[in-house]
Amino acid sequence: MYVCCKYKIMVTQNKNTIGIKLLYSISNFVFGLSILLSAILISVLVWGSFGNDIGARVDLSSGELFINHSIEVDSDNVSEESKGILENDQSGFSLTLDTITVDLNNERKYLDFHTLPISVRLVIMFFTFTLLLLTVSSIYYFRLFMKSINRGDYFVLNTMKSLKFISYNLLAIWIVGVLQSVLLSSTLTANQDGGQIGGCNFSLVIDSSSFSLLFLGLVFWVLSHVFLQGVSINDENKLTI
Amino acid sequence: MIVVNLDVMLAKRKMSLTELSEKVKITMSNLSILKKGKGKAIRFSTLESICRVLECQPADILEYKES
Repeated sequence: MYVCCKYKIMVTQNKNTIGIKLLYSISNFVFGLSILLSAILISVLVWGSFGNDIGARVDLSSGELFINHSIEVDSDNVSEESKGILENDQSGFSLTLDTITVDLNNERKYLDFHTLPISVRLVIMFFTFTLLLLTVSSIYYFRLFMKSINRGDYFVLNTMKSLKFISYNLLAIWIVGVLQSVLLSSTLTANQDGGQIGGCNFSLVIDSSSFSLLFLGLVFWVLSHVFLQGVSINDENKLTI
Repeated sequence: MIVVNLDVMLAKRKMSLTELSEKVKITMSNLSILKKGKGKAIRFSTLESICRVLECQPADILEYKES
């Protein structure tokens, strides 16, 4: 019976190790991919900042930048107004990049990135670069965390620090995202003929992913404190003869 | 503070740390930590093994001193 129990523990440990190794490999791959995609995106944005049309649009309500038009457009409501506004999107739902946003105003306005004033372009680029940097940083620290776990260093200071930095990065992404929405939406609507389009210049965008980021950041922060306790218990255990 | 007088007992029993480590089945590094007083805790099972091999009482190995 002892041999049977010992075998069960060994099998369980092997299963965990395979899962951890796989996750570590995936984190390495994702980190490399994020560096590559960031480099491409930065190059495209810098090219666009010189006034070239890169097919990027800015959502007036949230200040978000879209490349390659991942939104659906109702062709019956296409209208052209001054200053480069191209289309109205009358749909209640818009799929944007990897988030789902519900526009209660049921009307979203977009502007071509290259038609915006240079100062606004620079601000958008600043926010985009900051968000990119924070995202790549989060992935980097997650990779470090998985490296420690893969090595078997569960309750050591470096593991705890990785968790803490992941939480700080996620919280920073949330804050920057909120700032971007607040600052850019007011700037962009003010750019449009006195800010009144269609009689309404306010729209509430509820982005569920941003609350997930905030929640995840807080969870990671709490976890880092739990791991800190684990570090002290581990140290004490090592010095118990 | 608790002082570990392991080296005193080893000298009395004319035993080396290596010999004690083999008989008690505790690693040399752990016994070294204990001897230097760097350990944070000692298990009863470890104390029992040491006392049995050195033929002594726990009070012969552990001593309380005002810090």
